[in-house]
Order: sequence, then C-alpha cells, then structure tokens
Amino acid sequence: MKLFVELINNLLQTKITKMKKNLMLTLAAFAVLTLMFTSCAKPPEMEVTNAKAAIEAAKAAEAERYVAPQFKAVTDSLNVALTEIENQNSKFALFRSYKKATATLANTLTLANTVKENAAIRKEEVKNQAQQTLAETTTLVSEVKELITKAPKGKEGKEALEAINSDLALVEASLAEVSTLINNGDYLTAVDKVKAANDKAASLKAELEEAIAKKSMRK
Amino acid sequence: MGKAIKIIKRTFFTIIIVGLLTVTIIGLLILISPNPPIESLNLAQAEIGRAKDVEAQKYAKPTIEAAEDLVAQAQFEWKLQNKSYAFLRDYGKMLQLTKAALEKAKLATEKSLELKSTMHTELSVKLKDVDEKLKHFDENYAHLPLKGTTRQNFTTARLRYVESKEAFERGAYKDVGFNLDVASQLISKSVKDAHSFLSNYFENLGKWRRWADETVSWSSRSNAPAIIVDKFAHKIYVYHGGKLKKEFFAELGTNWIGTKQYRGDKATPEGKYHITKKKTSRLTKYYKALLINYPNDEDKQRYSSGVKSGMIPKRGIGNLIEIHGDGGRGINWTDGCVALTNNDIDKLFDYVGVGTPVTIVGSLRSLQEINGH
Repeated sequence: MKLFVELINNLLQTKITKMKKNLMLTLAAFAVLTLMFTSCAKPPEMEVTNAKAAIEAAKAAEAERYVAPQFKAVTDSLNVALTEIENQNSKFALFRSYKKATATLANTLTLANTVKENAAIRKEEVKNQAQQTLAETTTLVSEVKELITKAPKGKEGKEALEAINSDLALVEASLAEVSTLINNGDYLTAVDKVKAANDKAASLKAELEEAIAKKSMRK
Repeated sequence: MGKAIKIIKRTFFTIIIVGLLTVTIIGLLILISPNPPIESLNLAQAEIGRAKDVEAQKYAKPTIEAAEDLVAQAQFEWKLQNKSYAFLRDYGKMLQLTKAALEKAKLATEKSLELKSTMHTELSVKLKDVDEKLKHFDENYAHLPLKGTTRQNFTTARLRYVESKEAFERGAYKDVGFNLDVASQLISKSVKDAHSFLSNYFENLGKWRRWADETVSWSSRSNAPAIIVDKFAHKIYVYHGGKLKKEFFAELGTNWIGTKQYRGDKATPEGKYHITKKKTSRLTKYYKALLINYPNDEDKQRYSSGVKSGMIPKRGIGNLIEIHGDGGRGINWTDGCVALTNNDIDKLFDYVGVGTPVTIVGSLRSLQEINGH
C-alpha cells in the first residue's frame, strides 16, 4: 500500500513537473510572439518632421506665389505620405510597413528642397526683370529730360513741355513706388508697375522726338 | 540526449500551436475589424487639390479652408480610432467628415471657377471700358489746353490701367480690381472735367453751324471757293460750288479754346471773315499767308463791351490774323493764326483769292457727337 502511494505520488510529481514545463513552453512561445509583435516597424516620425520643415522652408521662400503648381505637388506628396502612415497605423502591428511612406517622404523632402530652390530662382528672375525694367525706365526718363532741353520752346512748345514735365513727374513718382516694392520684395507687383511707367516714358520720348524731328525738318 | 530532443520537439509544437492559434485569432479580428475610409479621404484630398488648382485659396478661401479643416478633423478621428483595438474601431465619424470635406472641396472648386470666370468677364469689360475712355480722351481731349490736374488724372489713369492690364494678363485678378477702379475713376473725372471745360465752348454750336451753312450756301450760289475752319477738329475744309473739295490739318493758337478777345491772348478768333491779302514768302515769315479781316464788326463790339465791363484787359483787340505756312509741328503754337504745312498752304494759296470767305467755327460737331453718343 505504501509502495502504491509512493508510486502515485511519483506519478503526480512527474505530471506536475510536465505541466510546469508545458506552461513554461507556452509562455516562452508567447514571449517569442510578443517579441515579434513589439519588434515590428515604427512610423517614420523623423522623416515627417523633416518633410514638413522642408515644406515650411519652401513656403517661406514664397513658393506658393512664384511656383504655385510645384508647391502644390509637394503638399500633395506629403498628404499621400501621411495618409499612408495612418493607413499602416490602422493595421495590426505585425503587418505594418512604413517603407512606402518613408519613400514618399524622402521624395517629398527632395521635392520640397527643389521647389524652394526653384522659388528662389523664379523670384530672382522676377526681381531681375523688375530691376532691369526699372533701370531701363530710369534711362528713358533721363533721355526724356535730355530731349526736353532740345525740344521747341517759346510760344511753340511751352504748354506742351509743361504737360510733358507734369507727366514725367508722375512717371518718376511711379518709379519711386517701384523701388519701394522691390525693397519690400513684392517683385510681381513691381514688374506690373514699372512696365506701366516704362510704357509712359517711352511714349513721352516718342512725342518729344517727333516734335524735335518736325522742328529740324522746318529748318 | 533523447530527453533533450523530446523537449525541443515539444517546444516547437507548442510554438506552432500557439502561433496558429494567435494567427487564427488575429485573422478573425482582422475579419471583424472595420476598414478606415481611405478611398473617401483620398477623394476629398484629390478634390481639395483640384480646388487649389483653380486657386480656391484666392477665390473661395472660406470654403476651401472649411474643406481642409474637415479633412484635418477626419485625420484626427482616424488617429483616435487607431488608438483603440482594431475590432472596437468605428470609422463612421471619419467617413462623415471625409464626405463633408469632399462636398466642401467640390463647392470650393465651383465657387472659385465661377468667381474667376465672373471676375475675368467683369474685368475684361472694365479694362475695355477704361481703354476706350483713355483712347477717347487721347483722341478728343488730350490736345485741349486743359487744367493741369485734368491731364495729371489722365496720365495717372493710363499708368494704373497699364498696371492693371499686366496683372490681368498674368491672371492675378485680385490685384487688378483696385488699380482699375482708380483708373476708371480718374479717367471719368478727366472726361468730366474736359466736358465741363468745353460746355461753355459748345454753347455757340448753333451759331457756328448756321455760319457754316451760310458759307457753303454762298459757295454754292457764287460757284466760288469758301473756307471753313473747324477749330475743334483742327481742320480746314475748302468748298467750291457748295461741294467739299479739299481738307487740311491745321494748327491753332496756344489758347485756341474760346474766341479771340484781345491782343496777345493767343486765341484763334471765331467768326465770318474773308481774305484781304495774299502774302507770298517775301511778305511773310511763315512761307505764305492769307490775311483775313479780323477784327470784324462783331469782334470790335465784343471787345468794347468787354473792356467796359472790365472782363477784358485794355490791350487792344489785336490784328494780323492769317492762314499761313510753317505748320506741321504737332502742337498748337501760333499767336492766334491758323497754320498749315507748306505743302498744304501751297495748295490752298493757289485755290483761293482775295475776297474768299473764311468762316472760323469752334466746332461743326456737338460734344455728344464727338463723344460718340
């Protein structure tokens, strides 16, 4: 009987040991799976921050104004990446992959930098155009002033010259406004304004040249 | 050794079973978990992109901002849902928000296109209107001896107009409006000032037309040449036998608006005169000249009453008004005479003689006719 009890005890002990082992194994398996879960992909937060910063920099370079379609393409690209990230966030951690989003963000970053450069180039082009036309118009104004000294005077042209001088003063005032606009960095408006001033200065020059030509023809 | 293999086998099978169980559970959870409305979100974002393509930020700002705000809310809701267990997520609100964003974005596109189209049409009309007013002023009034401010307003209007046109051509409609409004106001003011300046001048239109008719009738009756000078048109019309035979461009006195009243006023007289002397180049410094009988009786009477009432300075009525050569200068430059180019005075000189009527009128057309309405 005693022997039988010992046998039972031994058997139970073995079972308990086995059960303990099984439990340990199960826990180990869960641990492996948990490790698999927890070691899965992380969202590309740094890339998002960098891309957003690059877009802000492009915005600061007035890309929205000078290269609007390109700037829109960049913001569209960021939106695609953000949607993809959130889409991956919706999935089970094990199945998440941010490769596509990371690639899109890298592309967004490159694009944003290019757009920033393009905006600066375009801005510089418009600035140069404004400055060049301003210089041309200033030269035209000087030429008009020079022609005024040669234009018919006395009873022949006193009134006409007064009118031309008055117009010239308006052109010069407009050129001063153009300079202010250029200094303020509003190059597109400066170009519009300086073109108008150039147009008027050219017409005044033509008017004077015609009057002088008529005067010399009479001699 | 055998025991170790047993343990490894057991471990392997346990992992497989637990793994399969986990995958099954995950698979089931995936099956029962709702999917986020990505398609709807993409549609909304694409529509916002389209709206921006048509410059909704400029032309439908509140609507596009509302659409963007709805998308931001949808994204926030998505993030919020992603924080809960997959099978507990509810994307209903997100879907609603994306749908609302899509509708708003569509509305922004529509509004922007509509406003752009309206602005394009309205600004085109306005630009055309200002352009016509400027051209009209240039053709009809710019040569008048107007007040300084009238001309300054005209020049400023032209500058603003060209500036507006440039902005319009680069599609910056919002930048066009203000300058164009200023241009429109200034040119309208210039035209109004010119009208007001001319309104007294044209009071004598009836008399001028009567003089012109009488002159043409005389030419017809006498079968002889007669000259009509239209000061406003800067034209000399030569009739013979009542029919228009020649037409020349003429330059006048500096202050040609209004009739001549006294010596040195630099005005060209208005009245019915005739040629009293034909001067060849030996007798005039202006190539050739046709002297007329200014002042006539009416001029003398006006001068006397003007001096009496103190309206006219007592400087003498003036004389030696001629139609002469040396013109073609492009400005009104004489002391009151009518100047033609030497070629034209040659033609006129040969065509007329002493006694030929010379009727000088302010205008043959009314101000309304000149303005085209």
